[in-house]
Amino acid sequence: MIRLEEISKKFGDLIAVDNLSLTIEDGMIFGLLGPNGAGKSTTLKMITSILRPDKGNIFIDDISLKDDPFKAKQNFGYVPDSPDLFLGMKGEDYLAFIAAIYNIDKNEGLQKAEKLAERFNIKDNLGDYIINYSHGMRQKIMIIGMLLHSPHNLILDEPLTGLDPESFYTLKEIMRENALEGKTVLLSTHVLDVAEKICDKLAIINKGKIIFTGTLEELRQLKNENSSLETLFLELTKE
Amino acid sequence: MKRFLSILKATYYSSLSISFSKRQKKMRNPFIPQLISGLILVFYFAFLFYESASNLGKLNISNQSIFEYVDIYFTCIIFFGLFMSIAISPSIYFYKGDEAFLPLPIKGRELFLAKYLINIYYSFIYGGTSLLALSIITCISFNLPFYCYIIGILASIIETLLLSFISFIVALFFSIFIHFKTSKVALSLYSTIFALIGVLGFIFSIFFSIEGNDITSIENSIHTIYSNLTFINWIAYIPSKVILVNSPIDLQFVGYGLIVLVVIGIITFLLADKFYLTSLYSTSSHHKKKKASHIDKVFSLAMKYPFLFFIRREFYSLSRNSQLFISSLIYSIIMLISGISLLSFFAFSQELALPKNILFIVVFALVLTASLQPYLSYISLPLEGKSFYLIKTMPFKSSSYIFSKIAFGFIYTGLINIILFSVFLPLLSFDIYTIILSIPFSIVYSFSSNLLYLLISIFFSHFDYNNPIEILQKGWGNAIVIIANYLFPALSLITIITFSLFLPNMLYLAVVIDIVFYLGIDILLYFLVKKSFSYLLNKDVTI
Repeated sequence: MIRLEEISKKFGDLIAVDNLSLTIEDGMIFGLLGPNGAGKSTTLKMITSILRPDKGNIFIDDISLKDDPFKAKQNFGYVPDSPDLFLGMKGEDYLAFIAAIYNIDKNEGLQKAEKLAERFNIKDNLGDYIINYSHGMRQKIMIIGMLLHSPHNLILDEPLTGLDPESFYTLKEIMRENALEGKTVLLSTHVLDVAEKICDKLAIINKGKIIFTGTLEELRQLKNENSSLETLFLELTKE
Repeated sequence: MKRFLSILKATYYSSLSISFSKRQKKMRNPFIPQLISGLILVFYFAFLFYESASNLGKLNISNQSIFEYVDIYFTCIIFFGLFMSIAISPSIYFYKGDEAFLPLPIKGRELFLAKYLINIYYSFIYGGTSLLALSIITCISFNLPFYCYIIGILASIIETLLLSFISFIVALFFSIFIHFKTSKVALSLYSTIFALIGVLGFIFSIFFSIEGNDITSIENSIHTIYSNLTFINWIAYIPSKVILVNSPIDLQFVGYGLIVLVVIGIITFLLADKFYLTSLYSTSSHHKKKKASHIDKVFSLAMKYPFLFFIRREFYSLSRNSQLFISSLIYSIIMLISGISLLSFFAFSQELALPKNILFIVVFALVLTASLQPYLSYISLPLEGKSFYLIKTMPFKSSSYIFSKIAFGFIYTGLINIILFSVFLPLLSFDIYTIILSIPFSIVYSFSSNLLYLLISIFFSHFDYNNPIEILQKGWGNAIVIIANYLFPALSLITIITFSLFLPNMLYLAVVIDIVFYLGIDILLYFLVKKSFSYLLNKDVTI
């Protein structure tokens, strides 16, 4: 479970996130939607401790990120929006690095890494340097890295960008499997079709504030329309 | 012209990769820190040169001062030549901005010339200004007439251009074969090495080409300069050490240099027009060969010996950044060679038999300076680049992370220390206690220097760059490292000098005191680094 309590973040005069409170329950896929510059990535970066909130507190499975960051960090895995990271490492080195950081049992980690690499179809590329990977392959290795330590909370920033249809499907399956196991999956996306199909619950963020939280059905009832998420989203963010 | 200026401007901005400060809401231009770093170097070399040049200005010129004079100027040229080969060679075809130029209707020579001019700008900031300062100081020291200043300025410009042209030609030539290779990093590494060999070959061919007694000819030529008569009798059309040494005040060098420049310039641009864009296209499309995975072995190492795994990671991280890797290697090689040659000079010279206590100071000063390799520890943190993003989200134990960075730097610097001490202390007939004590001293001293540079990098690290060489170009951190580089050995030398002068029979005690002193610094710095790193993990990082 991820809980945000009145968090705010300013960059100079720009208020990127404004007094935002949100609770993401276990066992669901939660989508964070919003136009460009709405504050989605800043919110995810605060949840993953890349940025510090100016105000408020964040709890990962009831552990305060401010008070005990080490313990809180063990409870989530994160896929950033840009997968161009650790380019100087080989795929296998990156996974071993993650295994060492999270103290995963050697056999369990190895088995899981091989299984996931096979599932995402990059097992044959693990001996290559990440710099030689395509964008999609880099995205896949980041996703495998996130899943390797079986975190209770999965946080994914635009995870579907650049994935081929097969991997796209695999990731959707994995997210669903994790949600069914009672874990929390939080993702931000621009692709409203995806959000409509896979998210159990949504939050729409605009100008740093949450303007809607609930299911798609609840959004439709609120607007009294039976339109697509795209139409409802455009209406909401225009107001 | 307008078109070329636009290309030049775009290339300049792509080379700067100016960072955007979210707090200040304005673009940060690295020009001022670059200028200051350049000026520090200029003043440092100018100070060294002025001392030896002023000695030469006196009537009784000794062989030793001529030796110094040649050496300082020569060292400047070597440093500068190395810088050119490291910085230029990969930059001509591995800038990220290149991909944006490829779809545009731009000729190879236009882009090449733009890059060349940008590199010249950086070369003058980082090295050319030193040569310029040396030329002017030569004129002042020898009381030369005004026209010699103009010749000196022209000579330093020509030297800058000549050295950079060589790096360019080698890199360009190498890039013709680019499509046979698969890895950009490997290509970058090979071309840098080749450029390096080219520049060094050029410099050494000048240095060693003259026949006869070098010192005598240089002495004669300097007498001639001092008498303000005609310039030296240089061997026509054959570059020699005499020409190089006298270049700041030699009109014939300027003429000779101009002819060479024009010829090399024409060849370079003809080659560039023919091959440059083809090479760029090749670098933007590389084929991939799958390499066999050894995931079980890598996992075993990571789980059984995580510390070794992290050190291995540091090595790979550095080796994948060829410019930084080569520059750190070159720094050590130069320091080792100059240290060894100077100490050998003292060890075998009959004329310069120094007293033991003075030798003690010289040995320590040289070894301590030679072993300083600030870049390894200073760059290891910012080298993480955007990956530091993800590291911040992980449950990192800062001690293991810090230790791996320091240990990697220590393996490098500590070894140089130990090798130099164990070769030279017995050779110079120092007692066994001093020789044995030098080993723990090397260890604690190397730890201290590595910890200090890591601490500086924690406060001044930038993680947003296009080319890792920018780590050494951006911000104030590099300037602070350069200053610290000269101050840090001074702490130890105070004890060494005090004992050498006042207690020459208890020299080993100076080493013991230094061991205790640096051990204290090690402990203090370690806690400071640990605390600061935790602070860095929790603070916002602009990426």
